[in-house]
Amino acid sequence: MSRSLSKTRLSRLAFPGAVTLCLVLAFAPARLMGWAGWTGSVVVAAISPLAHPVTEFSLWLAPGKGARTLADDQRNRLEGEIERYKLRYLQAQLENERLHDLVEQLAGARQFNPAEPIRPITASVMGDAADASSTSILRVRAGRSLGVTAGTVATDGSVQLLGRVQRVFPLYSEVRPITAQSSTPIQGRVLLDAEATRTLECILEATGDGMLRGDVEDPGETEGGSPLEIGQRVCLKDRDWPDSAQMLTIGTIVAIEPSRDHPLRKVITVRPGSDLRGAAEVVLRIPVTRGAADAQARADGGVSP
Amino acid sequence: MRWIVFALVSWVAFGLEIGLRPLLSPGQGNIAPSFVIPVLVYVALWSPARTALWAGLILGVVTDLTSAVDLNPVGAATVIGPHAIGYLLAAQLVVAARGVVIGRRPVTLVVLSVLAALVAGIVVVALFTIRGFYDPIVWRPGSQLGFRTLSALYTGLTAAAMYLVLTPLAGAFQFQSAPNARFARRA
Repeated sequence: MSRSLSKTRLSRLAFPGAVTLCLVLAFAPARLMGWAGWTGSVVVAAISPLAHPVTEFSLWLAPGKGARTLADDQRNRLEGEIERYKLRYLQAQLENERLHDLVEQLAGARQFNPAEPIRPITASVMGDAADASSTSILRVRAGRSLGVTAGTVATDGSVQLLGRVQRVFPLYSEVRPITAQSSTPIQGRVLLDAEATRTLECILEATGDGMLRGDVEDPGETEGGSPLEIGQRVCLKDRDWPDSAQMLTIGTIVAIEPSRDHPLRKVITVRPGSDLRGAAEVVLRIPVTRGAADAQARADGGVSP
Repeated sequence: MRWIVFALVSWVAFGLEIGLRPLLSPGQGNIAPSFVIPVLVYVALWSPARTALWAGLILGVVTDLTSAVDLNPVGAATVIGPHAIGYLLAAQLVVAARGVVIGRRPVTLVVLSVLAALVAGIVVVALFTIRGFYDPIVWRPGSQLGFRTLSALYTGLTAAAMYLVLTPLAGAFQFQSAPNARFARRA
């Protein structure tokens, strides 16, 4: 009798208690909610057996989204190879510039190592958050167990920069695309010619519609005739990003306008090479220590990447 | 109501909500229809009030757990509460409105799903906006309200589709007042 009474009382208190708890948690500071991320990862793992195949099916059906996967034909692979060699060339050029500055200044700048070994991991996109409006993260099927860490750089199959890992869970991680409005501005370099002998610095911010926009110094004022053209490539050159990510492609210029606030500047709009929100797979560039890379290379009978 | 059937249907709804977004969401994916809200509305239409409110709270907590909010300058956080409270109030709206609607009709599920999604969206925006005063979250209340209003209207379409799926499942849910029986009493 008393047991059933206490059970009834408990069931009456359960609902107000749950509501009160939710209200308290709704206002609890984010720094105290780390455990919620772990709990969420369990729930996401429970939903993913259905969500993941449906996402892949959607990306396959959606026009223009995820059409180019990493397992595409040989032509895409060869094009990717060309882009990677171009990237190495640009990074070597950047290293040359640094050494030149170093010699001139005779001072020790931060060591730039474009050949920083990386271990690429291909990960399929599981989908995004249930509430699409509040965040722009992409969940990818590679987590802490594969060595992914916060800040790991994500690209598409070639050298197109996608974004950076924000949070890592045991089985998956969350990538914030560079085109997300919540992303911080990134510094880039406009390549005025194919050899990248002439470049211009720029700072780009996401516009929210899949593009990036920002100021670039107008070289027309100093060199006569603006060499800025639609279709020119913009690469990453930002010290807030890892060395291995420098000179990855941000996108190409699709619009050039005069700056209203700065007469000596132009405003460029840059479109990434692929639809970052519609990526079916991403490549996570996981940095590895030089010692581990050398050991791996010796084991493979080759050289470290 | 059989909670195991509710859990299975909710699992499918969450899977579809996340999985079908690349196909159904235009542009950058900020506007997307909900498959979970129609389930909530359907359950709230036919369950006892307390069961409906529990269902709203549970679906809200799961939505919170599978969502994230961007932090400034980097990182993301999972926040429990905003959707839970939002879905709870949405369930209460349906419970309050079900006395004056004909639950069996598809238009009822469509209209109530739009209204429930609107209520939930407004509550979520309000709670995150308050949170934005002391937490470093990336939050733009104006655009968020716009996205959620359009998403709520879009949810009407998924509610119409979900009606076709949920109606045959009425027997499996074992509601105390079965949809058809209730309609028969009204008639």
